[in-house]
Amino acid sequence: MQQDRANDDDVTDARRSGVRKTVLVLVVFVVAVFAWTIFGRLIR
Amino acid sequence: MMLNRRRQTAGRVPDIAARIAAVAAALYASVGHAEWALNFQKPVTTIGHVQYDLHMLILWVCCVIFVVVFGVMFYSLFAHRKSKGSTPAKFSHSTKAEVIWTIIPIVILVTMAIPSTQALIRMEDTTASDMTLKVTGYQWKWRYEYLDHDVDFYSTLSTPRAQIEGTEPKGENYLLEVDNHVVLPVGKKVRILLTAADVIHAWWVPALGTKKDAIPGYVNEIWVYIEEPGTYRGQCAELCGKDHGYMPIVVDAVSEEEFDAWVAGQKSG
Amino acid sequence: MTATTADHHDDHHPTGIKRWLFSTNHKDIGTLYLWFSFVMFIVGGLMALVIRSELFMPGLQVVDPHFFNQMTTVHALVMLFGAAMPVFVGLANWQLPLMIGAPDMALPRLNNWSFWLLPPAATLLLISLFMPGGAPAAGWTIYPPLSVQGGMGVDFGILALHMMGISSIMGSINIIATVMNMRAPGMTLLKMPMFVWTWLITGFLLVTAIPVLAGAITMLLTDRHFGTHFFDPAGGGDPVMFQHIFWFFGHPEVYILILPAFGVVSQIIPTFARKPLFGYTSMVFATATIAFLSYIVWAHHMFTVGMPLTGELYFMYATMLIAIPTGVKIFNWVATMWRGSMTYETPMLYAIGMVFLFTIGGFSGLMLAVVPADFQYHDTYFVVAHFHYVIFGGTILGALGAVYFWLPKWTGHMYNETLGKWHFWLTVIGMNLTFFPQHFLGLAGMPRRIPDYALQFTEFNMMSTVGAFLLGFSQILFLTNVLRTIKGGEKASDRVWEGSEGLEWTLPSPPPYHTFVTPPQVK
Repeated sequence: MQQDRANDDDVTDARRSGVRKTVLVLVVFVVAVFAWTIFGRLIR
Repeated sequence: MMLNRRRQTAGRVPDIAARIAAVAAALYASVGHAEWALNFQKPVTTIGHVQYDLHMLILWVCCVIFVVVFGVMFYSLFAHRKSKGSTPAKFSHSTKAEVIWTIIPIVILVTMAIPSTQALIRMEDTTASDMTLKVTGYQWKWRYEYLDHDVDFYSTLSTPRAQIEGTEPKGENYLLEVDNHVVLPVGKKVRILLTAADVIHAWWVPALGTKKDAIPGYVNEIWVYIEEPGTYRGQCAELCGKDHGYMPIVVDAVSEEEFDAWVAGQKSG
Repeated sequence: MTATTADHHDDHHPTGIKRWLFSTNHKDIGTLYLWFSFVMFIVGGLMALVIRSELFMPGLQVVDPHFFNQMTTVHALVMLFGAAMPVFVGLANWQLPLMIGAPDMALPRLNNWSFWLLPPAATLLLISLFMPGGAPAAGWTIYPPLSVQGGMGVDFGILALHMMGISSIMGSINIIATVMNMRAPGMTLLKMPMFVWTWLITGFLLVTAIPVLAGAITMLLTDRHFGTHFFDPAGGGDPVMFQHIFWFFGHPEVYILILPAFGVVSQIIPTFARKPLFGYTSMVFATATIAFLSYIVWAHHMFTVGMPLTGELYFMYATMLIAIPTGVKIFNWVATMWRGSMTYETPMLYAIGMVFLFTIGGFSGLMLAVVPADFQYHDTYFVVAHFHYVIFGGTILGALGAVYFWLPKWTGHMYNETLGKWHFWLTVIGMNLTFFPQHFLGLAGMPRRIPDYALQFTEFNMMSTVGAFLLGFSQILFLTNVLRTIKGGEKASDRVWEGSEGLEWTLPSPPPYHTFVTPPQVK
């Protein structure tokens, strides 16, 4: 059981950093698409 | 305000009776001359015929594929039932089958794309026209300018309000009638320029086989070569506000002599 | 295999209203999403019945033309953003963690937020009906300059769309983050169930498409109030540009609605055919191909705006291409049924109905792709029939099938099979009676979005209205069945169905509040 929890925490840490990276990339992407949609019209 | 409302309520009872009568009359009328039209109105222009043939071609292709695919599916639904003792097969892929059912649709699509491309090229070629009609969409009427003949007029719905509200029986061309008809000659290539003054409209007469948006700030082009004299009716096809359903189009296709006489009449009038 | 919760410290379990308001539990939030979308489905459905009542016969009987336009517009917005999108987010919330063996969604608090944005957004949209000038009435496509003319209801609508959009973006970020990072050890991408795959791809479509919509409606808002001229030709703007931007969002949106339904059907058919899904890998690639193509075909919604010939040809060819991966999916489903051992419980009926009716919508879509013929079909009832076959026949039937499929797992009770079958048949008959005649109306020349019509269209409109009421009222059977199943009924086993495959069926029915706290091992 103790062993299980330890493995579990490793999994959790790995997941946490993966989630963080995924979210960062997606948020930047969303903001970029939104900005491009509007500012793309302005510089035309 | 209150008074007004009360007066309206008072007038409502006979109003409802009139409406019920109108419903009954409409039901009777619809049984009387039911149309049940299933397909395009009869095309009367050169491109209209091309369009109709293309439409029927794709329709039949779709029907054949439909029958084949769902024939197989319904056979399977019937034959491979657990209650009939069917035991599940184990296969879960077959490269051969998958390649076949990727290739066949490609072949069908290419054979459909060829006549479509030819038709489209023809429809978009507005060069070498005999005359030009400029159409401007307004909320909610059409303006027609004959650029080569110096004729200019507006065209609005002529169906009486009472017919719409149901206090009067509806006429044969209910909602498809206007005060001033567009008159066009048969046997001539007519270029039609489309634009709008306020919001986007779309000029559409089904029998002429084409439709395009009338957009403020843009001038769009279509052309028609009408082969048969007659009266052809259509409507605005792009939502343009409250009375979008009430800005019809009526085209009278007439012989060249009649057209010239009409133009002369318009000028003297 | 059963996950234990006893030694878990974070097992907060508030009760009453707090349970739902503050919930970060994927099952509770999934339930909220599902109920919200059902309520919206009914609200949007009632609006559809107002539309159909007015169109029962020629003349103006029930509403005035301006209110009619508000109904068509708000019906569409409520159905798309209130019902069809949230129902699949709800299914994803319930099912994705169970299917990939994760303890919850990756971002539980964000999950709570993305749900609780929806009720205020829907309220904003609906109260716009009572504003001076009424609700948005320019169609759900809100094309300027018409949408610039509307009253403050349009601003309410834009704000509501923004909030629903933010909710969708957060929901899809959450789903992508969950699927990418929270899978049980051993579950490689190509071992994921099809429903997970289709949602992953849908997630990517959402994060690309929704910000574009947000940009478009922001520009519309500044055009309305802050003196910009993005879409006003009088100030050097371009109304057609709005259409290009809108449909760059709008076409992927269509696939956002249908791909998760494809995923559901790909779960249901193998279960009841008792045979593995045919061509799993080609299904995954077909889904990805459809998603990719959805970005490059947008202008087929606007063939009549007067594009250059080359543009029209390109969009025609690209659109026709979509038929190929879509065909692959349909053939794969039929091949999955082939030589299976089939039984026809309600979820299977829905899956078969979906394949059949969606394909009719697919065929009319192919017809619409052919530009010379589209010049006749465009903006007629043919288009209305087409997209209702796709969205009702595809998306909604898929969602209803999914609810019947997983309801025993969620509640621990079997639903009433007889009632389920009645609901299926009445829905399918009602739907076909409503929408099939609309093909004929469109071909014969009836434009869409008109409150009143010429006499030759009367008969098919009457049929359509009768069908719509049948369709609407048969949903009472669905509500009854679901409520009765929640309250009680025959106990469901863990596997529920004889042919069940996948992690969710290894859990008890109903699953405990926290599941897969220790990740399962997938071989």
